[in-house]
Amino acid sequence: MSNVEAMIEAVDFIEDHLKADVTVADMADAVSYSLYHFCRMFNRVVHHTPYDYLMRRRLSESAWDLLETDRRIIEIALDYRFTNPETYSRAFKRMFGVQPFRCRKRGQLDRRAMLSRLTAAHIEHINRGDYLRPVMEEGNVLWVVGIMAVVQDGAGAISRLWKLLARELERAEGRVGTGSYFGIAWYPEDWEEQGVLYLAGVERACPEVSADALVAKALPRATYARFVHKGLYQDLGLTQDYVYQTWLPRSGWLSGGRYEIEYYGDRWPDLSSPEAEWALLVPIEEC
Amino acid sequence: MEPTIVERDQIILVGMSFFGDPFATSGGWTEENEIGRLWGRFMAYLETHGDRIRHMVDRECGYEVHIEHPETSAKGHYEVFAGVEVSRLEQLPPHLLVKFLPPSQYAVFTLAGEEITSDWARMIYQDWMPESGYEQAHGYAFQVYDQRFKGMEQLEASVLDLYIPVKPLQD
Repeated sequence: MSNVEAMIEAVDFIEDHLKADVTVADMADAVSYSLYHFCRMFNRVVHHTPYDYLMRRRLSESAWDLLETDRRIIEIALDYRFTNPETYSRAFKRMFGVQPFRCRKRGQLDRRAMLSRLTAAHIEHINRGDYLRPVMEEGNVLWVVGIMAVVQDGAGAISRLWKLLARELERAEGRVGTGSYFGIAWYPEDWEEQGVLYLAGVERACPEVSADALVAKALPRATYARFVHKGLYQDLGLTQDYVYQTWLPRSGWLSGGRYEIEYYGDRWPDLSSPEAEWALLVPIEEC
Repeated sequence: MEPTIVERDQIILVGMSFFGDPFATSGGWTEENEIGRLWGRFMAYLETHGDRIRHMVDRECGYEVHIEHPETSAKGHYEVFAGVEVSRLEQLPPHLLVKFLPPSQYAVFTLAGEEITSDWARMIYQDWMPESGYEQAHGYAFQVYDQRFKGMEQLEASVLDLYIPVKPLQD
């Protein structure tokens, strides 16, 4: 069994024990590793310490219970093996920035901050690329001209937007345009119900639009963490989960805005190739 | 992997410590995990202020002690100590800590090349120890890095000794 396979098994073991008294030594036993070697391999393959994964998963599942059940907060805390409500509240606030009772009152929590169950697909994806260290860069103000829409079904709708953009550019300018291609996604507060605003566009020197359907949007000056996504567009979620749930919490940075940028360089975006590679720029700011 | 059994008197070490999951930032065998950083910190100190460590036995011989605490099995958090041996202890600069390892018998395993990155702890505690007539005597173990260790970049050419404190199994 490879280390990746063993760690997928270990994650499944943890998932089965979120409401049980379980130690990291139990996890190591479950996959027949020594504790020390297990800690090393889990970190290498999953990019969380085993204990951190356990606690973040417990807190994330407890958040669903807060939002979707009317169990008392103390019961939820005890379900997930917190010794008392205070420890639970403190840990919850550290992870999500709000107290459990306030989260319940508001009735919502940004899903991007919750750690979702890591699947075999997530873990294999993490180990296909070099995600551990993104490049930090300063992005200057720039203009992107393109087509914008609210999208709800991800890959399909976005691929239609790019086709539409190609047609409009060709009609207006006689060619598919030159320059750098950007896909920009904005996440409104209620994006899970309402969808994400997506702009498929090309960089321009000024906000001049050549066709009625096109809009011009200014990207602000910002600091970005630049990740490289490898693979299909529909697997972009695996990279995003990694960025927000695994990398960001321990990076020492905060999210710098409710948007992110797919940067394709001067190649027309190929959303359906498993060999494709492009940059995902995530705005960040100092804590 | 057969060990030799040796007796060692009390060992006095001076150095620096880390507590936590040593692999929290990077699980690879690079120097960027917490153990690598700990060694980096200690070696830098040795380089600039080594003369402040009196009675050093062998500057080229580094000890890495892994100490189990109550949280170790629950959370995977270890204390890792990196240091050098001294023959006796006088004053100690505030940057350094001291560890007294009690007199003990040790099972000494020599790890070479890829064995260094293998799951040796499992081989020792699960495969070797139950058959050996020995049991673990103390909640720590240490590795000795000397001239035979060429660095993680030259793992194939590297050798280190692993000391497991043991005592004969009582009936």
